[in-house]
Amino acid sequence: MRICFYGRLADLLGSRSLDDAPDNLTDGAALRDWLIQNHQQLSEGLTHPGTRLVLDNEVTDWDAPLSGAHDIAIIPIVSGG
Amino acid sequence: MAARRTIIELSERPFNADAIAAAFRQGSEEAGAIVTFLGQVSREDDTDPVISLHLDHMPDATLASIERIADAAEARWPLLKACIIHRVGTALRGEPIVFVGCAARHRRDAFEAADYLMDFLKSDVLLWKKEIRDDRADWIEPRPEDYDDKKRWES
Repeated sequence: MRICFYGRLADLLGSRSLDDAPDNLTDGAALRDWLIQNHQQLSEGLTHPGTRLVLDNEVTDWDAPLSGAHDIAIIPIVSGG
Repeated sequence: MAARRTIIELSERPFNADAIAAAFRQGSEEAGAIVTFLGQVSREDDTDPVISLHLDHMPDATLASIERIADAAEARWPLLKACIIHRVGTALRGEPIVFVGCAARHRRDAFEAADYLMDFLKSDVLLWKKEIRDDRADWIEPRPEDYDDKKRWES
């Protein structure tokens, strides 16, 4: 499963994306928990209340199922233009 | 659904705001008022000035977030046309970040729509800004006043 990160989260990760998340994570909350355990440098960013899940370019809730999503991203609070 | 009357573009390179403003005026003969706004990368701080601004974005989702704001403005004001050009990537101090143009029959509609577009562009667009100075780089979050500016349009 490929996950993309933007803004501060990409800086914390040191990369735009990672590919090592297992395919059996059912929803965004499970993905977030897995990331916190396996990529601890992301913990601070992932627990920020403004951090959101994006599935197929739509900002969505953390309890949204991941099945069927082609593009998965996690974004920090937006700073706007 | 009517065709969108707002031209929207994300630019990875510096853009010529004068040329864009001139092009926007072309074909606006029916307009009684044209309001344009240009936002530039500012120093922010005289003692430790910003050298450049990096704008990270998600190409499709960022564009869609701007389209939603443009559609809301078109539904609220009788705009003849509008234009939003937003820079992404790294912009140097003094370079344009955003151009907004609104053409309407009456000036108040053009002024208000441009003001509305900027308030929502500042708070709702999927962009992440990093200010780069000599000795550090800081990701920027919206300020409380950015949300206050947006609330003005709730009534």
